[in-house]
Amino acid sequence: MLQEAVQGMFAVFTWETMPFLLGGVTLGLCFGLLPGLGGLATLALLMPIIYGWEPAPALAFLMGAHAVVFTGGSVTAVLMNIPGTPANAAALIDGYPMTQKGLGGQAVGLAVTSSMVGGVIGGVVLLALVFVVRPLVLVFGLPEYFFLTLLGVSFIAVLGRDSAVKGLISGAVGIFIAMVGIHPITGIPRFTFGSLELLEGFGIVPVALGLFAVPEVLRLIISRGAIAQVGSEEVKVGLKAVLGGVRDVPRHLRLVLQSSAIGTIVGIIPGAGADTAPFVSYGIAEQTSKNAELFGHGSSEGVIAAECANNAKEGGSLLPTLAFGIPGSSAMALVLGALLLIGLKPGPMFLQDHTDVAFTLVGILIFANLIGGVILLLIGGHLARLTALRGVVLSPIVLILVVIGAYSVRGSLWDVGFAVAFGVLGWAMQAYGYNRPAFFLGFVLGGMLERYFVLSLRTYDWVFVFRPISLVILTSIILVIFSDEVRWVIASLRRKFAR
Amino acid sequence: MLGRISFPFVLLAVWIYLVVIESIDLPSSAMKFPWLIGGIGGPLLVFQIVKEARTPTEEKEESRDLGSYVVGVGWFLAIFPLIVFLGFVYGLPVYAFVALKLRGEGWLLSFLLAAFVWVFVYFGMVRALGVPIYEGWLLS
Repeated sequence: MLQEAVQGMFAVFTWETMPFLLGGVTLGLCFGLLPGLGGLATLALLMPIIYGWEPAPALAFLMGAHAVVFTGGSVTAVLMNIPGTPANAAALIDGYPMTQKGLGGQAVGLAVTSSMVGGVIGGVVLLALVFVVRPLVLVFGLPEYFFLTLLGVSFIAVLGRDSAVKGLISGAVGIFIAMVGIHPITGIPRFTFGSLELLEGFGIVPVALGLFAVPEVLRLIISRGAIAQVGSEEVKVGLKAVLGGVRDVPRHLRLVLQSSAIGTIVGIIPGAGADTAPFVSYGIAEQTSKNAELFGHGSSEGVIAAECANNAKEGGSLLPTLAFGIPGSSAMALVLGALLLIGLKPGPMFLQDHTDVAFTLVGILIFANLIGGVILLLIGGHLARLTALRGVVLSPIVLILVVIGAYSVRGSLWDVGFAVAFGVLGWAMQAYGYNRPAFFLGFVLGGMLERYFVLSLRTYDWVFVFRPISLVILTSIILVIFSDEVRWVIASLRRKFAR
Repeated sequence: MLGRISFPFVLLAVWIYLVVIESIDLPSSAMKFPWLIGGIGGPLLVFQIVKEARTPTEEKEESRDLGSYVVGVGWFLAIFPLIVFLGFVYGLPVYAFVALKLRGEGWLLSFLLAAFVWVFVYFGMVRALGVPIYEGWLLS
């Protein structure tokens, strides 16, 4: 298996894969620098491009872009006080004060190197854990697959969001939307209203573009102004100063390892809470630092803690995604959709059937971070000028990409219409606080969930609910959904016993 | 307040229609799963509507610039008639040009971006990738 791992990882260094990795990394850095487009919109916009590609180049392109989005976002966070992605917000607490003190170059060096090192450590931990987790999934049968998939939807619906009920509603609506089309077991059309276009069901790409990219386009069109309020002429970063920041990172080795470990662990815990990893790491670093008083005033330790965790969480969140089909973060829900799009079936058998692809993904994660980090260290200051792009200019470009992306997968104008319809739904969900990643995950996993449900029912009847592992997972689902109530009961009991 | 209630209310109406009316004629194996998910989602939607109705409305709601919002949505929707009538190869560059020029950008930038879109669609999609592209109602 070790040989398999090395071969899988170094499959990145082939002529069929490397150009796509470089292309993906470049696009990911640009999207990361543009605060108007988050990591989710980036993945949604790039998904139609990989349709029909071989797994290795497709994943190199998509995951290469995703792996460095957060690294790109760290540059604008420290230089301009504008986080490229929400997860970069922790880096600006100390990064921007450094820039205000005239240490912008050093801040860029620190942020990019920390992000790069964190990403590589996250990838290495993922590699090690694949060896541990792979034999575990063999003990699962059909009923356990059903409950695991349900657990995935429940996790992302409930964790990291304000309202658990809204999250669950979003997941349920997504599962229902996945039922449109021909029923996989009986072959009967369901919820198609006699329309031929709906027989195949809704495509992953129009739904992803509609939910995640269209609301961003609408926001850009309405906002009109420049993404960054800071003039591009103010961004001046010397290579010497950047290298000073790079040299500062190894001096804080313990902090680097601690923050990367925190990021990886938070990433592994399934749910949409992965964006909190940099803040958790920052908080712990502040509590354990000898120079805690410097935090918030331009502390290099603050930047390292935030950015190491920020990128390390990606390796962590990929583990439950690959091993169990349970996404470790919102972005991983889209990665699951992308896997289906290129013909790979996510779920508990993924590590058994596609071990080579799993190792290639680890390689992509590690090498994309290294390549992206080096590019940013060399020209990050210049790339930051992209934020001066106005919404008026950016919005038609993104809208055109949405339209082309929705149309190109199946060559159907209906898909463009579906993207618009899901865009309206996504916008309404965003406006009223419903959980779009939960909806999308329900949509992606809905078909699989029904197949496991029907087959489990046929094989075991309703007894399938009472199998030992099923019961354990079912208990976890109930605990996840009613976590607030469980906490309240525990607190009440504690108070009672204390009295 | 109205939006907060009307959104789950619309979802519930669609939900009831799909679960109760559309599923009723399906064979039992195709009906079980919609009923299972419907049985979970329906009560959650009712709970959410009741919760929203009982939550007091915030006194100060953020005022929205309705005019810029309508104009924004108009710009968003304008791309679709252009595609239907002119197709992708001409509709998209025309949209890029018009969207930039009429929203205050210079001639050069508007023209360059429109030309870039045309090159991307025609050479990238039609010639290089051979995607069977929609030609438009007026041009086909």
